[in-house]
Amino acid sequence: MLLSISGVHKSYGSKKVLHDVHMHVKKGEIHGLVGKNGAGKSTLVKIISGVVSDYEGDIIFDNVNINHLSVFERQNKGIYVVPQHATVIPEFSVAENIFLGTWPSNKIGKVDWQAIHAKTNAVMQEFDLQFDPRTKAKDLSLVNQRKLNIVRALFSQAKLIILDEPTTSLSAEERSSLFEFVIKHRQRGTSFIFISHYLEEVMNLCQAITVIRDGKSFTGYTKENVSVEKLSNLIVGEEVQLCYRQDQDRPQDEKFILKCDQICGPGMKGISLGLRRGEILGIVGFPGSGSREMCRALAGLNSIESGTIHLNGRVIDPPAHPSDAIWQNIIYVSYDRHKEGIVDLLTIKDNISLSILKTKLRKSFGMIDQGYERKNADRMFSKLNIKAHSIFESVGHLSGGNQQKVVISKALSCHPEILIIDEPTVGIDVQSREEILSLINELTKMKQLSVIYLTNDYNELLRVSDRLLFFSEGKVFREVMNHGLTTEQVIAIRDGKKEGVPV
Amino acid sequence: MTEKNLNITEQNANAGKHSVESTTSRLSATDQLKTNPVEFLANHIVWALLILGIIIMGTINTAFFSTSILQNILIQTAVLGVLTAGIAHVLIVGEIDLSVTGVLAFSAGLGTYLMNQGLPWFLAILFIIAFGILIGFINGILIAKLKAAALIETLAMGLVLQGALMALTQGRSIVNFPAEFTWIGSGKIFGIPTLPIPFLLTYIVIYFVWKNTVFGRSLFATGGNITSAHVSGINVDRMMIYAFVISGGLSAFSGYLLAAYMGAVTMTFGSDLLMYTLAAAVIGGVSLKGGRGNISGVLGGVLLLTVIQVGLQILGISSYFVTMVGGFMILIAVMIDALKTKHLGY
Repeated sequence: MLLSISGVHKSYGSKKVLHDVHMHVKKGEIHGLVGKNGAGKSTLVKIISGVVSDYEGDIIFDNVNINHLSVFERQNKGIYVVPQHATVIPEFSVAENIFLGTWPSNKIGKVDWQAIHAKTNAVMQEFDLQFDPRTKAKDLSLVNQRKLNIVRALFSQAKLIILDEPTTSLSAEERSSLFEFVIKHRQRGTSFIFISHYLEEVMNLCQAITVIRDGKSFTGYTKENVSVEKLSNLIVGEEVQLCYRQDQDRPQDEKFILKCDQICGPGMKGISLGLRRGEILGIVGFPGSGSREMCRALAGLNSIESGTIHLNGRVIDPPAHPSDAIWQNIIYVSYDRHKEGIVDLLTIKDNISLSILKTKLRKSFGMIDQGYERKNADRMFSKLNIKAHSIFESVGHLSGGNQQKVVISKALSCHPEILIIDEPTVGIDVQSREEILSLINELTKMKQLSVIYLTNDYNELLRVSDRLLFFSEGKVFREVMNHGLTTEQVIAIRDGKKEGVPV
Repeated sequence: MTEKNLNITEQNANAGKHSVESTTSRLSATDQLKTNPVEFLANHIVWALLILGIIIMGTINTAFFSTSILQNILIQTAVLGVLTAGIAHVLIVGEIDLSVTGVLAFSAGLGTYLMNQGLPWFLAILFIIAFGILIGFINGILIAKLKAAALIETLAMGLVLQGALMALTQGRSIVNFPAEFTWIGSGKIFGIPTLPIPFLLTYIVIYFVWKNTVFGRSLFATGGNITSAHVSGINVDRMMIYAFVISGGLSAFSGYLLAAYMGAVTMTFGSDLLMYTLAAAVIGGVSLKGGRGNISGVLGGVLLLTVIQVGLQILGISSYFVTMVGGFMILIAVMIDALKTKHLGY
């Protein structure tokens, strides 16, 4: 046993975060750690890495009790955390990043670059990576940045590497390449703790699985004795109803509410598409394929150089600013909830109001209509089942899933006709995800809303979307109705394969 | 890891479901005090410090509690108060304005200079304020549209204006203002000095603007997360320009108040106010990172700083020490800001 956690308790003030947690990681094992946001996963990681030191219970690593060791001492013992957000230094080269803090130098402190680059090349070869040690880290793709982080840990003789949601915002290919990388190193004897919201991933990759729910641990699961459904029930503590769009919910011969014709601009080389009233239009495309560019351009966040947009049969000017798009009842929910979604200092109510400040909430002399504001926020609060004490709680204190519900509430508050959602379920728990999806399904069913839905989670995409558009090189190259499509077929179409593809 | 272990854990798994109560009642100040006393204290620390300051000053010298000295405190707070109300807008959108004292000095200098050349006194007042608004607008355009770094841009603007005053006065003071011009600074209504009136009115107006208007909310959203505000349809560039315009306008207005109070514009007019205004805002709970602050805190901040300044005079502490004490005030303010950020997580 490489790592044994037994009887760990931790409280913040009167709030119990972890309660009698047990977890055992073997040498050369990939151990899955799953749970909702706020269940206590990150606290557990902090306790293992030593960031949080005032806990009860015992942590045995390599047959030694490491309770009293600091973060730094634990790193020397071989425990490394690769955080969710890449922590490479963007302006430093690959070599500098790997040798961070331990740059070999001569007597007067001059860094020996030749040695660094030679050693980095050796390291790269050892770990089968093909990038130039002189490349700046910011020029690497996201997956390579994460690999670089892992390499850095391995380079420092790590025995246990904790991967905190390493696959967030990676495409399917990038994921499998990361998995191959991890599996290779497990075979060489390194252990991993793998944290993820994607249960299929966890099932495929991990030899053992621990579930954390409300600060309690449920450990000892393996691929053989647990199913995805059972895992998700364990995580939520009750049955989760996965949202599936029914055939009768799909729009029949509705008119196009939005038509784009030959849209050109940065990253877009003549995109044409139509969106029917009440439709959920799924968008498939790699980063750089023009899909996200188009979503953002329609919301006034990217510029449009040429092409026409018809909305409800009338030609409209391309939105130059998000407020133009909102004025036309088009609203965008960004893939980056922290940067482009919430204002964490403001309350839930104030966040929900942001999109309607200049319209529905504005009274004479620029005063806010407090009554309507309160009513609207209360309505959204209960409709989306936001878990908080009240609408006056700061959004910064909420879990990821609830923050995303606030962002969706904000978007829906302006009663949009067209909702553009970009990766709305990244890094949020299963229950919140299904609640958001089923609300969108409801609203489109009543023909109040038409949705453009961009995500890399094809499983989720196929459950709710009516039609799929495939993007590549700044254009739409395929359109497929979603009649019982499978994720394999989606991947095959996206990669331009001929066989196994429905006509 | 054994069979038995697995069974136990499964039982646990099926046991408790959790539910979070969702009541929608606003926390009152007393509730907040009960539920989270640390946060409550951190947010209202300025008032605790103010009371502490007054008690200490009063114990050392009972003359401190006389009406004339308390009136004097209000009068002395007026200029700093209006100035700080302006800069608070810029701090809330997450920028900084180091040109405020330059604006204060040169707009008052130029206005009174023109008045002495024959400009009617009321036009001179309007000119002073309009000039401050113009400078604020230029600052805003350069920072919001051309993306200049506010720290350097406003520092440079402040230097230009401070220098311009020097060039204008050639080292002499501008004096001999008409009585109508200086009335606000030295007059009385029903025996109450007039100077605190515009100061308190400014705070009342700002209180309503921040709390109840679309503008106020947009200001805080912009400072809290500029990209989120932009995506939500708020014109963040415009908010930033407005913040600088308000800062410039109120700086110039405080320049007018100071000129009317002193009856003269000297070469170093108002130049010592910069550190006090920043310190007052930060002690009053306006975050240097943007998005956080309330006007009652700012009021507490300016009162606290004035109490300390006046107190030092009454206690007979040499004016050679005042700058040092001012420096310590800023250090303390920044420490409070940092500790708040560290322990409350924002």
